[in-house]
Amino acid sequence: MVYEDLIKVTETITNPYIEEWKQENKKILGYYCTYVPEELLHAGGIMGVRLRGTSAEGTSRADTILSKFNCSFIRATLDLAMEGKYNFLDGLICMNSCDHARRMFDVWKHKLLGQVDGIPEDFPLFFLSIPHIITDRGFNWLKEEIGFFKSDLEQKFNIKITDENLKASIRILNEGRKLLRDVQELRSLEKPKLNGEEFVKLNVAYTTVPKEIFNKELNEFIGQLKERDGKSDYRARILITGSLIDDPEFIKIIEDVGGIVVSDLLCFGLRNFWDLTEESGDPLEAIIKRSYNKISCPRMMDDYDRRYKFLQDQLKTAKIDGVIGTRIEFCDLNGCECMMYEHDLEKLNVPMLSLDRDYFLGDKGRFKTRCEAFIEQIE
Amino acid sequence: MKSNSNKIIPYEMLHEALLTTKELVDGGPAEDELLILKSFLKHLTTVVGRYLDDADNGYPVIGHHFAWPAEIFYCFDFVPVVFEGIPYILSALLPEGSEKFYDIADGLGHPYHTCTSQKGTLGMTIDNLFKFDVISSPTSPCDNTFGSYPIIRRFYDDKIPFIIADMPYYRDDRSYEYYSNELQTVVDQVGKAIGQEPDYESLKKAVENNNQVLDYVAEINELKKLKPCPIESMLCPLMTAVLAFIPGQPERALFFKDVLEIAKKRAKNGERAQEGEEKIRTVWPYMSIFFDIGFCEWMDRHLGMSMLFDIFNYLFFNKIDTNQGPEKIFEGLARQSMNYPMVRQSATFCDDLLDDFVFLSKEYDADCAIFTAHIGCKQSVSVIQLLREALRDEVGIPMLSIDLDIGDARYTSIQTIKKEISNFVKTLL
Repeated sequence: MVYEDLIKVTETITNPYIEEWKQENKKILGYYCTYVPEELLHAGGIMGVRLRGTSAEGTSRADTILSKFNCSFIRATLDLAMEGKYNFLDGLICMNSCDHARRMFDVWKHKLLGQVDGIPEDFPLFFLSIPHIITDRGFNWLKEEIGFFKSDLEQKFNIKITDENLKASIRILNEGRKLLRDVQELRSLEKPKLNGEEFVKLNVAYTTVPKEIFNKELNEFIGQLKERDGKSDYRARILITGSLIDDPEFIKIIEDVGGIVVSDLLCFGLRNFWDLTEESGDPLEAIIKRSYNKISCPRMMDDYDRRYKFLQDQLKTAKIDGVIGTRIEFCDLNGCECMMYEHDLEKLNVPMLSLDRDYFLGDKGRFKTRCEAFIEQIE
Repeated sequence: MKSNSNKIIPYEMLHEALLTTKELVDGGPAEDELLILKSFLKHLTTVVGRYLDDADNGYPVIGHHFAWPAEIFYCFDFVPVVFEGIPYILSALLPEGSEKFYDIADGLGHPYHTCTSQKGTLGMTIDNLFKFDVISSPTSPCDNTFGSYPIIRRFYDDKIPFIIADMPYYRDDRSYEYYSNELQTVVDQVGKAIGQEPDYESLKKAVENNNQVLDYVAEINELKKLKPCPIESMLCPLMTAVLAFIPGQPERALFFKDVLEIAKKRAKNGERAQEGEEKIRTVWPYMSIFFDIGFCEWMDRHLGMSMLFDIFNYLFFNKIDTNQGPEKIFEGLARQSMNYPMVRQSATFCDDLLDDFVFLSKEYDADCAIFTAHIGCKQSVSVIQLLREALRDEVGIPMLSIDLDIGDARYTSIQTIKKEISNFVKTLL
């Protein structure tokens, strides 16, 4: 395997790694949200694959079920599932992440199970109720919740998830996270060793390739990265935040007009890997602590200050010239979050561009023009 | 501790609008017309007047979410302001609705597709019409709540306490216990924030008032089974407002008592509220339209259509035992409020919504359903098709859905809405 193979996975839903995994009769669970305790899956010999809308050509199938007020990302994933593109999954994990994603539990249950070829009636659906605020009581709730989830996994897939397995999985997942942090460091240099487009590809690969393979390939790639000259032909250093981005093309548009995306606050980005799991003490508790206390998503109701502080740190570390905040249309969480960033960043004299977008890049021209104008404005 | 700076100007606007509407309604139609509306205006005017007096007397203002069991705050001397209620009731009573306030919020970057219920209050806050002492919300039922409340608080530079209770996604004993503890913590935190000790006797009284309401509502619901339905469609939006604006107070029970008496009298004579035949019986799995006060009357009078229930109107709760101390009361409030109208149907799996409306359609012999697909409510619009199929397969009735904003006439005009409903009705008759 080479790095080029690794990042090619961004172009399709399934990939050779998934196919190989399935040939070995091993299980794969799909999930929507970064709050999934991935170590638990890994320790059970299960591969976690984050759902994406990649390669969807439209949402006509999904639109027979969902509304036009649902975000196009969710509609794209549902469309792919209805087309059979997610038939390699052995189960799906949903949670109360956002209003669109949480309803996928209901939609899969009522409309897909036993009704779409390749998704049997007894297809396992899991649900996690994650607290929306950070408190001791919330932590205890989550601890219990993840405990139930662990038992469900063990029962459904006839596996045993031991503390020893969990400790090993924590080490392996932390290794991947540390490597991605190393890459982030190289991305935020004065002369970045890679651009934002490449970085998104790596982050997508992280969610759809077995962790050991990812770690090995990324480790080697970091060696190559260090040898690179670094980029200096950019006009503005950008941090991007807002709704999910799994399409590198989106970042490419910004970088084609002179920006370089050197940091982010995204769930296919820093938000997913930045925090590490403690490697000492009770492993399950450590996993839960990370999941609960990590850099949060706007679904966490009273945690804006911590997210804003993280963003401010990134402004300094990555020497940001401007912030681009995007919301996929009908994403209330990121729409409101971007509004707050815009007002707060204004006080710091940091320019911010807020953009509505569709998951599909149908309005590429408009997007490009606005990014170009923004970069000119801050240059 | 008294609040020195509270400000509830939108409640002054509401009071004035209520008085004007009351004057028009009392002096306009015949004595036996719009009886439920008259009772509503009488009781709500009294209550809002009292809130204004209490605010003048320096009681702290608690801005709270509609999904609260706001009775918990009756442990204290306070003025309740229900965030989601005020823009919508003003959209019904003011000629220009709440549009100005939506535009203020939009102008500062609030996404156009977020719920106008909170957008309106945000606009009013930015317009410096409110000054709260505490803001409080559960983590329910939607992303708009998670997104908009922190912005509202931000406009006070985070200087006022923002007190939150976390509501789990499930509806089981473990979740009720968790949420009950959350509610007790909220009371402790609010008490500290406003410098008052909780008075559990007042809480008990508020819950007892609500218990009485449940008896009336149960009888009203029974009468709705009659053909023709002896209760006007307007009860649905009015009841929503009563539940939101009059938590745990005697006027809530008095309103439902009036409704029951009016309905009983009509039922005895086999009458509808209006003249003419009842042609179609509908359930509304989402909610009525708030921005047009005459909408329900139009349905009743022009289409012969009865709106039997919407998402806010079927309170099939057990009464709360108030004789076993505060802990049991909190437990009861947790159970009730996690199954409050709209919370029950949109803050957990969709099965309750499907089951409820299949049950209501069968039990009350509905001919069809109408779903107001509100742009702000993503969790509800996600399951329209599931509901449509459940009603079709299990009850054999069709469902119309209309994309709109229930609080803003500019998204889909009332004329368009009426036309769509009229066309739908033609296919049924």
